Amino acid sequence: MSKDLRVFDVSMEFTRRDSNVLALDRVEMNVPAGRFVSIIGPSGCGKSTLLRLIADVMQPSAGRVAVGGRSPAEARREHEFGFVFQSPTLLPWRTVLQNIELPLDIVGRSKRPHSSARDLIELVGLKGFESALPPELSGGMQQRAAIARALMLRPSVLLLDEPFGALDEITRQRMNLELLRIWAETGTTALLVTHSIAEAVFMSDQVLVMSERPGRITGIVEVPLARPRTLDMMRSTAFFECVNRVRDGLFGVEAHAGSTEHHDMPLVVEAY
Amino acid sequence: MDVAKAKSAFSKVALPMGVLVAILCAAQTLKYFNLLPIFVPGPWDVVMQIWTSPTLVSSNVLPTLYKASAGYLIAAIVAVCAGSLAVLVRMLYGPIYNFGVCINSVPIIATAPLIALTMGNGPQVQIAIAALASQFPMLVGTMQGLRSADARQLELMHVLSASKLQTLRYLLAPGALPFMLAGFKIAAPSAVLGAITAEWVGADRGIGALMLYALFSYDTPKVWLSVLLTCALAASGYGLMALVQHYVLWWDRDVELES
Ligand SMILES: Nc1ncnc2c1ncn2[C@@H]1O[C@H](COP(=O)(O)OP(=O)(O)O)[C@@H](O)[C@H]1O
Ligand SMILES: [Mg+2]
Repeated sequence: MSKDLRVFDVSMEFTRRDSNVLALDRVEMNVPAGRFVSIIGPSGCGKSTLLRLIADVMQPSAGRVAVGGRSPAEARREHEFGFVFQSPTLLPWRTVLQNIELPLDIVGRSKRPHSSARDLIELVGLKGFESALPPELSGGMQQRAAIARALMLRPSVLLLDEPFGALDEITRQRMNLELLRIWAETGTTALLVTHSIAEAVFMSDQVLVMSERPGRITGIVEVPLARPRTLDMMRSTAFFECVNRVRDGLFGVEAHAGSTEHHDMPLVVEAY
Repeated sequence: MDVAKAKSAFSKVALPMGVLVAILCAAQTLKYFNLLPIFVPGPWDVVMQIWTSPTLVSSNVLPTLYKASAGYLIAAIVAVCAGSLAVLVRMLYGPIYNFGVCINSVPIIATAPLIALTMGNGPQVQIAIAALASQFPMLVGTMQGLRSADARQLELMHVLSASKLQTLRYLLAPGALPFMLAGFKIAAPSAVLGAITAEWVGADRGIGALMLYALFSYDTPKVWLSVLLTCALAASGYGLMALVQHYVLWWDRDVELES
């Protein structure tokens, strides 16, 4: 079901009225099938652009993307992608159920194996809200509907662009656990963009660290924590170790210099 | 339903109605004591006109209603087509919008004789002018509505590999509906006023004709009657479209038209 994701030497330049902006500079990436990988980096470093290039929303200025060995355009036409945006992006005139079934209306119900909308609604915990309109739901519930919609066609690659960025910390923590459960059940490849170090480490098998513009991948941190993940793991030394390595990757030695003596005992771990 | 809604319905309908009735009663009282100028009839005299000559009302309201509706319908069809074309072909967007602005800013009273010259004198002149007078809000509503989908929604349709037609059907058209209906609502009174103004230039039937006839024969109550009928017709057009808007849009969507 799941597909691997490869990015070969991809650069992306945007032409503005008076100047060109190099958003991505020779990005290399390899996400094995079925893995959960996060991308972390300062805002404006090209994370959303990278996801858009993978999903064939735009084409790279240089380099190549392969999804299960095929081009993003082919993969998109085969409905391999589930895309979750930072805002839920539900259609306000459709009920929750109709929003989740939008992919079916477009592809045709008989054309393709798909999940049952009822199962998905249960999976994301929206039972009883099938006929509610989006504005009647809280932000967290809307985002869960958006996740269910992204899973409708059983995508082999799930792309998540800061999906919980707008949520409060408690809801966010809960949504992360739910997302991990859903990911484990569906077995897709997942690529999560976030700007929270703790979130990136907690969710992923691997964290890719990106630099300030022009975006480059400057570090790869493997996360050795077992699955399924539990909140307790966030207290483990292995977790702190990874958090520190990601932070070092983001801020370089400057973050390191002041705290050399407390190296294995970080005082502050970024909250979500 | 709930108290807040009932309250807002009260302040929207009952309050203005109450004020209106109070003003009418005051006017009638003043008239009774001969305190109003000679050219202001008592409200009751105006209403009595409907009672004493009902055919006068129907034989003038119906032609105007017909002409305004026909013009409105033609304008709606043309505006929706032109608006869609403008959004579809980016090069035409500016020209179509500016053309709409031009037509909208030429005074009806100036175009009416010109159109009468080219189209002869029959109801077609008033229909054409009703159409010209009402097209702009519908054009703006269509253009603004079809462009109201945000970048994320369009990206979503793209990632789902939706065809152009599917994007129109599932995203653009429903998204445009609130804007279009808002335009349709604003346009309805304009069609009525356009038709009536055009009737001044030459029509033997219609509220505009009645108005002119009453003016020239110094029949003050009939002048006021024709004003009353104009307001009633324009307001019913607006009200009808407001009802359509209320029942067609089930989702919560208040929009502002910008022109
Ligand atoms: N469609 C576009 N046109 C022009 N510039 C863009 C476009 N999309 C993104 N950019 C620029 O590319 C850079 C990276 O943007 P983005 O990928 O959204 O960053 P991130 O998601 O990491 O915050 C930014 O400087 C942004 O201004
Ligand atoms: Mg972004």
